[in-house]
Amino acid sequence: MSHFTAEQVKKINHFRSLTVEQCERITKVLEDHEARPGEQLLAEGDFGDTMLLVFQGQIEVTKNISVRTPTGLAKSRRAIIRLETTDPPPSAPPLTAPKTFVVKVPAFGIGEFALVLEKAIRTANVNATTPLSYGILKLADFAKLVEDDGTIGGPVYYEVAKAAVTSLAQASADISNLTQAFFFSLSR
Amino acid sequence: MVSTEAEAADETDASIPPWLQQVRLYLAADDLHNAVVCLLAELARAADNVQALHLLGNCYLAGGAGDCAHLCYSLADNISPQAGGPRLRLAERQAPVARAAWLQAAEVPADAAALARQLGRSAATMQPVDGALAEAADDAAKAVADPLPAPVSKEPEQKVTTAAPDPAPAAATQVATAAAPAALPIANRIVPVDSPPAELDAAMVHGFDVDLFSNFRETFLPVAKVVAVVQVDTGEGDRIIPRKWRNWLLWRFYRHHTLAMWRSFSSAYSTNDFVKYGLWAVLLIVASSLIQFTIQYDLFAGDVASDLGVEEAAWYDTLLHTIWYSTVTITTVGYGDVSPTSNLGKIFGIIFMILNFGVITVLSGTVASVLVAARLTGGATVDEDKYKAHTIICGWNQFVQPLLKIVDADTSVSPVVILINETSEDIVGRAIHTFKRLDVMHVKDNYTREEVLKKAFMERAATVIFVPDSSGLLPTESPDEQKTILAVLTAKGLAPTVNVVAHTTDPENVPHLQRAAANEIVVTDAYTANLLANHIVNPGMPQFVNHVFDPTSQNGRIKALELPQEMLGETHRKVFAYYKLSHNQLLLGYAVRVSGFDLGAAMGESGSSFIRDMINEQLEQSGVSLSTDEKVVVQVNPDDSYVVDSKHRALVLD
Repeated sequence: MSHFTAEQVKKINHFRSLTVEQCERITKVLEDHEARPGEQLLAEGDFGDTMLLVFQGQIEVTKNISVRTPTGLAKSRRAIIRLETTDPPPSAPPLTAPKTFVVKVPAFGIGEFALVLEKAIRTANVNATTPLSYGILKLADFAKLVEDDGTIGGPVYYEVAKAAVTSLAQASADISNLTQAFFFSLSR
Repeated sequence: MVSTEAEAADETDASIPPWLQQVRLYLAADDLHNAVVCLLAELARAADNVQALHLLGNCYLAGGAGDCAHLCYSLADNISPQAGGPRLRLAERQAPVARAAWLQAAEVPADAAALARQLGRSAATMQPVDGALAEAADDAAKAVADPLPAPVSKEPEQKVTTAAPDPAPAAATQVATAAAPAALPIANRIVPVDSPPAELDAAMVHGFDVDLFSNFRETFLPVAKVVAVVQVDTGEGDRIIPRKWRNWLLWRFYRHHTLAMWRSFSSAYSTNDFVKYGLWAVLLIVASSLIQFTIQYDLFAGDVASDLGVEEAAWYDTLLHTIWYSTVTITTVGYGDVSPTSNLGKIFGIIFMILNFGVITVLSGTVASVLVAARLTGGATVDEDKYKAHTIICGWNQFVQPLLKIVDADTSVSPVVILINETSEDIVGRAIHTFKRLDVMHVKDNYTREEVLKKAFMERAATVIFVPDSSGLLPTESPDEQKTILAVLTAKGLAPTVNVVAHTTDPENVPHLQRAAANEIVVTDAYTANLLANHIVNPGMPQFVNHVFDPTSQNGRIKALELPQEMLGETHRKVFAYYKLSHNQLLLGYAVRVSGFDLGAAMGESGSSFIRDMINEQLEQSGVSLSTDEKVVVQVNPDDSYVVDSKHRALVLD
């Protein structure tokens, strides 16, 4: 039983359409966790079957990428975005100043594809940048909740599908941009 | 003598207060007693007079009362830290010294405590910083309390004034070290650097002159680290700096400046042809004049006497006459008013004329090139507005003159042309002298260098043309076309928007020139095979091509014309009819300016900003511009419905 409340769970976008009772059922299967600033929560390329529900703190999403440096190609970790809770806000300022923009929401979830795939591949690294309070929702536990109450699945899967479609459209545009840049470089 | 130069340096006579004038008179007479009395009176009137405190400290130091001097400098430092600080530090390092007789006079406070009372200050203001100074103060106090004065050597004295102390060369350290011991009560003995120890046993530390030290430090700092200044009191009222040391410092000083001047001159000589050959010309004139003046004095003197109508010419008139003759001869002016008649004179004349022939020729060329360079680098006479939309041609080969001929004939383009190549001025001059409209300037330099291209106002040019450079090559040698590629890279790096046309004879260079971002690439001989073949398969066509490209043809030439305003937005059919009916010109097609590609605009806001930022960053780091230049493409005989706009120019057969 988590100490996080149903109201806190309901602040997360994926669960906003659920009732308080349904959220309460989720809190019952949620595992409470704390993370120190700098601690890695998800690693790019790993497989996972858990979704992280962040209730307080700030995280940074980064991707491993090879970039050109004066000494040749070198692997680099580039920051994509930072997410920060506002209700409550982080208990301490971030460990490092952000190099990218910070999106502030009451609470947020990460790794949501793990709610629909048994071995969802993590597409980015996630690190805590402040002390973090979060809960872990396992695919097996959520599947059992859905099995018990079919009305929980619909709204949550709908939000996950929306996120997937948005990611797909963005990936398509990224591929288009990269292709243009590739041919543009060849022509120079 | 106590120097007041530092204090007086920034004053004018009118601003010198009466008390200071009086003090200076006393100091000039080496009357420290009255100077101190005068200063004490001034300080009684104005206790915060820093200048008076400094002078009083100097007097006490000169009199050997380091404790009093320290008090004065402390007080000055309290009032104005920056003004008193350096003196205070020097005083702190100074060993106790023998006290002068004038300090025993009743009206002069002889120790720090008495001085402090007279100045109305607490004796605690003075803060002796080392045992030596404290001990000196104690000794001084005892001397005052004791009815018998402290014993002072009766031997002829050589009093030595020292100001000391940074870490030091060995010789100077010797002085400082010798001056340091404080065990001797009144008459500290020191060993100056340049005197035999036996003589200097009698020497006595006498104090030091702060201003003298400061002056020396400022003067000699560039050449020597001054660690001590020693004054020797001969006992007869004169103090001198030990001659050997002073001479050493002066020698270092003059050597430094002489070497600096020599380095400047040798640098100018090696880098500036004007200086080099000008010097040689002057030397030859001087040598010629002196030799002729010496050997043929009688001849020149007689000549001058005859000119002046006197019996005997003065030597200076004769010397001027020989200089005149040498200058007129060597500069090849040759007025003919003076000419050698003797065999010896003719032989000397021949020698100097031969010697100076090369020097004067090169000097003339150097003067010309200096003037041209001055114009191009923005000298007073340059008209910068002139260098706008001009043409720059880099390199020199057989195509440049015909190219200029065509530009000369076309009044629609700017007549200003800058040629940059390393071909001799004579060759270029012969090639361009026939052009009447063109204002051609030749810069003899390497056009692959950035600064040379900048001098030609490249960023403002309408077109920069790079041709294979045959400068300095034999007719059998081929130009190095890598130079063209390098120069295009340099030019586009300097001014990415300038229109660069590159000419190459080797088609294999085309990809390299494209990568260097040349706007247009012209390959010579690319059409030769076609022309030859068409003599077989299309007889008459090669003749037609020759005719339309011949700049001397009166008609039947191809021209690119701006479209009239009323034709913009019309179809090709209408434009064709317009040129045929209005001007009897045959419209062949259009040269169309096509906008370049902008990757940033193409990506817009699509996709994730993370990817877009990374693309921009990586391309910029690789030196790849995110956009391409505007290009000109040709539309030959388009469909009748083809619509023209302001980006089109009509290609017509006149």
